[in-house]
Formats: sequence, structure tokens, C-alpha cells
Amino acid sequence: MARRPEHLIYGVDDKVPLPMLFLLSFQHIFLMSSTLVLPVVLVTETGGGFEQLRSVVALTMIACGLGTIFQAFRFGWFGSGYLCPNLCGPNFFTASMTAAWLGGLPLMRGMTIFAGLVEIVFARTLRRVKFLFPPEITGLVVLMVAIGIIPLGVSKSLGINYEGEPIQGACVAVAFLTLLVMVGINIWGKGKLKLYSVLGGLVTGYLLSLPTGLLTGAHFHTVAASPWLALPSTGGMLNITFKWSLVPIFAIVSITGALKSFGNLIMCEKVNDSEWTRPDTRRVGNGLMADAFCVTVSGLIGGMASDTSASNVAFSAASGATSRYIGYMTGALFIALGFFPRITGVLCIMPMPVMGAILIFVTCFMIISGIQIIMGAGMDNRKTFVIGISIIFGLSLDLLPALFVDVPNAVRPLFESSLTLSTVLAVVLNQVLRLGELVKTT
Amino acid sequence: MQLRFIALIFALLCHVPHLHADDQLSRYMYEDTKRLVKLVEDAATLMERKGTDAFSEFGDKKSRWFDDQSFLFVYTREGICIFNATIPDLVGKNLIDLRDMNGKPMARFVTDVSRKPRRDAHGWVFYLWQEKNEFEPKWKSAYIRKVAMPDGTVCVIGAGRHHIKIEKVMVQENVQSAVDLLAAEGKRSAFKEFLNPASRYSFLDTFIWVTDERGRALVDPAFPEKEGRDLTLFRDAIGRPVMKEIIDKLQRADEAWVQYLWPKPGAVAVSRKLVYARKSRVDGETFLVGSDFFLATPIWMKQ
Repeated sequence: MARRPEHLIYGVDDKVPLPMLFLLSFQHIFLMSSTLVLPVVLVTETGGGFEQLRSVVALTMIACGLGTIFQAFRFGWFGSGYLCPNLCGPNFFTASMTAAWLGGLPLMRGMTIFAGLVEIVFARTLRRVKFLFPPEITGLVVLMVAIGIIPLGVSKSLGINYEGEPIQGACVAVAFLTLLVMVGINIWGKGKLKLYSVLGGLVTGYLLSLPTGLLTGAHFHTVAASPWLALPSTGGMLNITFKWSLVPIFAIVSITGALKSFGNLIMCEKVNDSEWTRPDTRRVGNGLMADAFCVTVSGLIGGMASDTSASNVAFSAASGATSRYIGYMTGALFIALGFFPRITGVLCIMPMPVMGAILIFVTCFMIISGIQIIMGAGMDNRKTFVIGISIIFGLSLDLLPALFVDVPNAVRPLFESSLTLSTVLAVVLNQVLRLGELVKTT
Repeated sequence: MQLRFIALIFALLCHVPHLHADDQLSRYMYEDTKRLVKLVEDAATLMERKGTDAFSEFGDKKSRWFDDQSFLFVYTREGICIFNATIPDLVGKNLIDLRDMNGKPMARFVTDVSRKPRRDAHGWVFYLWQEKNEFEPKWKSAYIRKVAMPDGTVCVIGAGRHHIKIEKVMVQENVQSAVDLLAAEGKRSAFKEFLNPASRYSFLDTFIWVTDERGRALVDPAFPEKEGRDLTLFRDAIGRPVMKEIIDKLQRADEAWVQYLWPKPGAVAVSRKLVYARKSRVDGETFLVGSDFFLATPIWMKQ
């Protein structure tokens, strides 16, 4: 039985007063919107027109909203019952782009549905392999998910999009002050004020972006050019294709996404249970099932694939509001906003440093949670090597990718992300280094 | 006290001039390109107002006209250097015959900008340049702007930078220039120029290729001595028939952009490559003229 941590203002099953529910949901929506630029880039880069762009963004929002609601459900085999929103993270971006180049949106849809099915299989087998994921390894997954957000958060804070670009002083200033406001509200905010740390940061960031030229009239003209109300186009929705050559890349991305969601759901468990010791694999598996359905729905309706959002989970931990009713409201509002392009436009023009500051703010919580889960497992020499070696090789992939250029094709999928590499290494090492123990037991 | 300190940091950081989107800068995608263009455009505006009096400001190492990676230079139409912020010894010398290691007449290309009709004409010049403290030459990209000084003298001002990423507009202008040359000088002379490493048509690992209507190579940078390779057989890293797609698009329009996937030299993972091609009719023959380049990957994405 979970024990509710004292610092939580609204626990997982607490009902939240309506005005507060709206304010908290809007903060989650802003976080979820921070990656809506990805479907915009995808459609633009693949030669889509404005109508197609608007539709793909709206359908992605609808799928993410549904995913957030699915996750807050707590049925027998479906939904974790946690506040764990979905966003279209960078995880699926490259694979989706490849599919869109190769066969347009119909192929992207088909491959996204395939990715959802892969995750369904992973979710259903999780309980049978729960012995592979003791607390220290789940902590490692949470930590590596957080580390995966660092490049995005830091580069956006410095105002850099591409290698060789200069640091933009105005971006650094806005990011620094936005972060300062969020940290300040979180540390010194009395009572329920800390529920609004991200909102405080957002308002500060948007206001500072005006005099510094990061938000200009051109941005607002773009927003003003969008209609208030519009239905996403459903033309070609039944046009779905599939390509075998893309199966490996989508299978890997799907498993990586599932591992990331695995980490996020464990973080949800830990935030909501002060006596948490090990993951509830049944509940996490149900959460993965909801995530898999969300990915499948994205493919079916024509949005870009999404996965659970580490930054939203970390924000709920930071604010002390983890009620799943916030998930229902956030999901419903995100779906509704999909039909209001002008409001979505305001979210899409979020200045880079504001986005970066928020990502840094929430990543701090995830990093510490990951470390706490690892250390809470009671470290001994075996666990030290399992975690240490896995982190060393996982990070080496990010720090020195050129080292792994020549790995054989058969194991190349493991080297697609540091999260995958470190998780697989930890699982294998954990079993190998327990050999002596197993022999003694038998 | 702490608040004052924060306010001071903010003021200092905001002092760095930010870029306002205007027509000239919005043509470019990357921030480092935009900064270089803005530096030269602003310097040109100052010269149009102050003439050579602006040089004292340009030479001030503490001014905004100076940074570790780029500096300003000014040439007359005849190729005489009248200002160089880091090598003052060059001032007064005629450098019109200066060439890079490929034999590219870089100073002539620079001064060519002054002969363009528009008052604010501009252009890019790419050359292999060896800095004093470096062992090997590296590609340098210079943005050049025509300037009419208050006394009516016309000259060019520019600044260069290493590691500038290839922009879509650079490739587009290069292909257009190749099409113009083909129309003006005919295929024999133009094809020879496209294959010449000292010409303006090859830079930063991009080249001009030409095929006939069916996709058979007439100018083939991969095999300069060979003609007639069937480029429609080329498929990208995931099996996409790139040339066929270009031909299809050019049957419906005069220009086409096509993206495909290909590993960068020495890399295993594939990257995005973009082709720009135009259709050109010369002396009753139809040619497809194009060029391609790798798109930069966002820094936060795993390469």
C-alpha cells in the first residue's frame, strides 16, 4: 500500500478545486506544447502545405491529449492511474521524418501504428521479466531519461540550434531569469504558491522575450494569421502504408520510448509513495499499455508519434500536485486546443530560452529522483559495478559517439541511444554478476 | 544587492546586439551566417555614410566589428586592398591575382560583386584559406557587399568565417549562376568551367552536376572524365530513387528540391541531404542542372 508523501499538496487520487485544476493543467499544457515544433518541422521539411501542417499539429495534440487521459485511467489492464502526460518528444522524430520522406504521411502513419504494436508486446511481457528490473536498474533508467533531456534544455537556453552558432546573450539572460523565478518560487514559495512555479517562469520568460527581441511582431503576425476555430483535415486518413525496411528503426525507437516511459512511470510511483522500494510492474505495464495505445492512435488518426513526458512528470513532482484529475483536465484541454489554431500558435512561439529554462528546471528533479532510487536500493559492490559500468558506457556513447562507428550491424540497435545501451548493459551485468549468488542459493 | 547583481548581468548580456528579422537575414537559416551577413551589411551602411572615415572604427579591436573569427576587409573595384583589419601590410597592394590552393581567383570573385548592377549587390565567395597559425588550409566563406561611398567611389566590403554551414540559398544561387553561364556560353565552355576546381561552382564539398532529360550524366563530379553514367539508377540509403524523383518534379516545374538520406564521409549513420535542380534549355537541348549538400543536424539531436 502506497504511503502518501507529506510534501504533496494534491496526491494522486485527490480532487483539485476547479480554478486550481485549470491553472495546473495550463502549466502542463505549456510543457507539452514545447515540442509541438517537431511536427511543424516534420511537415515543413517534407514539403507539406499550411493546411497539412495545421492538421498534423492538431491531430498530434488530440493524440497526446488522449494519451494523457488514457494514462490517468486505472482499469484492469490499461492505464497506470498517474498524472503522466504525453508529448511528441524527439524520440520518434528522426524515424518519423525518415518514413515521411520515404512514403509521405501514409507511411509515417503505418510505421507509427507498428511502433505502437511493438510497445503493446513489451507492455504485456513486462510482468514476466520483472526480475530483470530491480530498483537500482529502474533508477538508472530514470537517470538516463533525465540525462537525455540535457542537450535539448541547455542548447535552447543558450539560443543555439546548430553547431558553430554563437551563444546568444539575450537568450542566456532570459533563460537565467526564467529559471531563477521558477527555482525561487519552488524554494521560497509559501503554501500552494509552488504549484505555479512553471507558470511564473513562463510569464517571466514571455515578458522578458519582448524587450530582448526574442518575440517580435512577426511571431504575433503568424499567430494572428491562424483562424480561431478550425477542424483538422481528415482527408486521406484511411491511406496507411507499411515498409519492411523501416521495421528495425521503428522497433528500436519503440523499445527506447517504452524504456523512457518505464522510467517516467517509476518516477510517478516514487513521487506518490514515500515508502517506495521497487516498481509495481503490473501497474507500470498497464501504463505502458496506455502509452502504446496513444502511439497507435497517433498513427491511426495521422498525428506524429508521442511518448510520455519526463518534464511533465518532474514538474508534477516539483509542484507537489500529482492528482490524476489534472491528467484528465490536461488531456481534455489539449484535445480542445487542437481545434483552436490561434491559441496553439501562442504555444508554438514559445521562445527558445523559456523552453530551455523549463526543461532544465524539471530535469533537476528527475536526476535527483534517479539517484535516490539507485541509492535507495542499498548499494553493495555488485550493484556499484552494475550501475557504474552501465553509466560509463552509456554516457560514452553521448560523449564520444565516434568510438562506436565500427560496431557490427548485428548489435548496432543497442548503440542508437545511451538510454538503451546503459539499460541493456545493466540488465545483463545484473544477471551475470549474480551468478555466484544463484549457485549458492541452489 | 543580489537583485542589483542579477540586473547588471541581465543588462550586460542584453547588450549583445540581437538580430531583427529582416529580408536580408531571413534568407538564411543558421545564426552564424546571419551574424556574418549582419556584420557586413551594418559595416556597409556605415561606409555609405562615412566613407573611409569608418575604417578607424573597423580597426578598433574592442569594437563590435572585430571578433575572434571574422574581421572586415575592403577592396576597390580594381582589387586594391584599402582596408584589412588584421593584416595592415596588405593595404595599398593590388591583390587581384590572389588565388587559393585550388587556383581560385578569390580577389577577382570578391571584386566581381562591385560590377553587379544593384546598388546594394552582395554575394558569397568561398575559398581554401590557411590562417597564419594553421598547418593546412580550410574552407572560408566570405560575404561581400557592394558599397558606394559618399564621394561616389564604388568598392566592396566583406568578412569571412571558417565553418559556415551551407545554406539553401547559397546552393540555389550557385545553380542559378550555372544555368546562366550555360545559357550565355554554351555547353562546351560551361561544362569545362563546372568541372574546374578553381571555378566558383565548387565549394564546401558541393559541386554542379548536369544531366540530360533522361538523367544521364553530362557533368559528373564523381567521375569527371566519364560521361553518360545513368544517374536514375542511384538510390539513397533507404532505397529512394532520387534522380527519378528530380526528373518527375522537373517535368512539372522548372525547379525542384528533393531530400534524401546519405551517410556523411566516414559516418555510418545517415544524414539528410538536399538537392536543388533546375531545368535549362540551350540550343534546342534540355539540361538538368543541380547541386546537393548535407543539411545541418540540430545540435540537440544525436548525429
